[in-house]
Amino acid sequence: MARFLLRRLGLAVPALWLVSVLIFALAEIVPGDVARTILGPYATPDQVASLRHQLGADRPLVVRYAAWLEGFATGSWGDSLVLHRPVRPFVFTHLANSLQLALVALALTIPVSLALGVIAGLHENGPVDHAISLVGLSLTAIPEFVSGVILLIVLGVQLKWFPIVAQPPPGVSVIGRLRYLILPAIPLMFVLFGYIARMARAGMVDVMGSGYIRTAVLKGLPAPYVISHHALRNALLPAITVIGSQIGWLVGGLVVVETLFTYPGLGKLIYDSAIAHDVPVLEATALLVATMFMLSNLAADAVMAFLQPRVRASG
Amino acid sequence: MASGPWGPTLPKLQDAAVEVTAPRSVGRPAIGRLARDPAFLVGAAIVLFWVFAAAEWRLVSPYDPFAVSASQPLTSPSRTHWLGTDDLGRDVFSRVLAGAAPVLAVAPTATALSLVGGTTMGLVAGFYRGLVDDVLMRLLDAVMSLPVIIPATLVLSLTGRSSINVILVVAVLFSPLVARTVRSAVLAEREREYVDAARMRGDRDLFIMFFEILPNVASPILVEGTVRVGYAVFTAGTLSFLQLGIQPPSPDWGLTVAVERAFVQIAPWAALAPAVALATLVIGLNLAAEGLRRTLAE
Repeated sequence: MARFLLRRLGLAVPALWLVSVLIFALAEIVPGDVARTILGPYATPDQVASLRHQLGADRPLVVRYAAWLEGFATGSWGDSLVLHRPVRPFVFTHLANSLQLALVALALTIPVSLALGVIAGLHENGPVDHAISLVGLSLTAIPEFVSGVILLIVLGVQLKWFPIVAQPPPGVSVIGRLRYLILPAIPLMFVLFGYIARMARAGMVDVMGSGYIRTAVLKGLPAPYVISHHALRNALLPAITVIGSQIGWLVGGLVVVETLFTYPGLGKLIYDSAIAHDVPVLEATALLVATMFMLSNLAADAVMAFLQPRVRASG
Repeated sequence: MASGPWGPTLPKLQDAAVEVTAPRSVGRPAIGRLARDPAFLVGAAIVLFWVFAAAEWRLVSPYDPFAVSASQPLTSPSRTHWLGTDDLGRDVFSRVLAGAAPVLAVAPTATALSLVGGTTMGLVAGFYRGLVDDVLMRLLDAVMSLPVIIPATLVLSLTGRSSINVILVVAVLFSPLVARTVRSAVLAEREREYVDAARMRGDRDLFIMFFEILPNVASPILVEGTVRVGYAVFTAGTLSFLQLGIQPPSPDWGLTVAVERAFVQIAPWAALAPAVALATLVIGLNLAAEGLRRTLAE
């Protein structure tokens, strides 16, 4: 187990390093000069040059990359070029907001997809199975902003069930906040639904065809008992293990959904800082997202290795 | 294993790719089965409708999709304007028809480029194995370690927002995924006798790869291509919505949703119409791709 995880970590670290190089290289090609951006158009060339020196922007590329990486690792993430505030505190506020939204989305997605997947699996190749598979396949293909804007117009504008902006006014209770987060969580659920349901269905079909289930049925146990006590545990294993690997997909979806519902999360922060060319914020958020994404994949691998010993052996 | 951002339908696809390794031609029986598959037919009909709209919107749209009319902004759907007008008084129905063109130009082009790049990488990696294979697969891990939208947003916002850049970014991000499918098919092919025979004959590696092996891995590549088009529409549409691709006054669906989002409370039709149009296109593409995949896997 430890060897398996070390191997996986050994694959993740170079990938993360490549991502950090990519992010740094991209930020380097941003048109414009940091010092000029800060000082504005009326500063003299001398002032700009001295600030460049002060910021260390005149050092060689490799030195600056090393300094940046060290800064990120030790927690000094610099100041925003737009807001003129330290990056770290508000990155973490946005992160907390995104985690709340992601939690609501997962809390909706997991039970619904597992339940419908199991139902489809129990009716293998019947009309119910086909209907669930078709709906899952279609919902998965629809971009979040499309389902999001349709839901926003139907449930938010026409029926007025939900607010059309995701950020609650200050002083709203936890339950109240939930009402604001449900609408943006649904498009995220749609995209994840098809895959998880499909895994649950496949697991159920597999297990229901196996010998030990036939034995249980033949010895006279009632079908609901066989399903709940014998089949479910094994059938849901593959579905549960893929949920972890799906969390990364959420991050991409968050950029879109948070923009659509104007929610101050990490996704919107990445987008806004990219558009505004706010390099320190962009670098920090992008690297943070990459790190979290990598860790969640690693955690998913660990869970899978724990639940399915075969995976450990194959590495 | 299939990690998340690359989409829910992938794992099954890879199974299909591994199964379909025996040389087979996509001949009459397959086409006959496709013609009887209702899901495929519905999907293909939807896609053809939008392709027609993209090609011929100048002929069929009732109004000029770019004609601004200051006197009638945000009017609700009526007999004169079937889907109402947008914030600049332009006819929404005409803009929805014309909006099929940008996405149907960007997504297939990006897919075609990723197929060319991915097939080449997959052939080389699968044929030579060893170091080349390892390097390519590690590169794949790195590309896949971020959800597509994040690197695409970074690249496009920093290097310039245009359709051409969207095509390039999507092609680069998708080609490693194509490479993975092609590689797994090539791994099975390279052990077959005809490859040995070609080697014995003294054929050069490039000839064996592109003229002996490639025709035999054509069907997984075809399936991969149809599935990729769906994802390319998904990705390109999303990038348009984030205003990282084509710019106003284009009637592009994603861009229109982003712009008209501001008016949802007074004129929901202006954002709803292009959203529904994009939804039907991706569903159509997916139904057609699924039908094709099933037929080729049988």
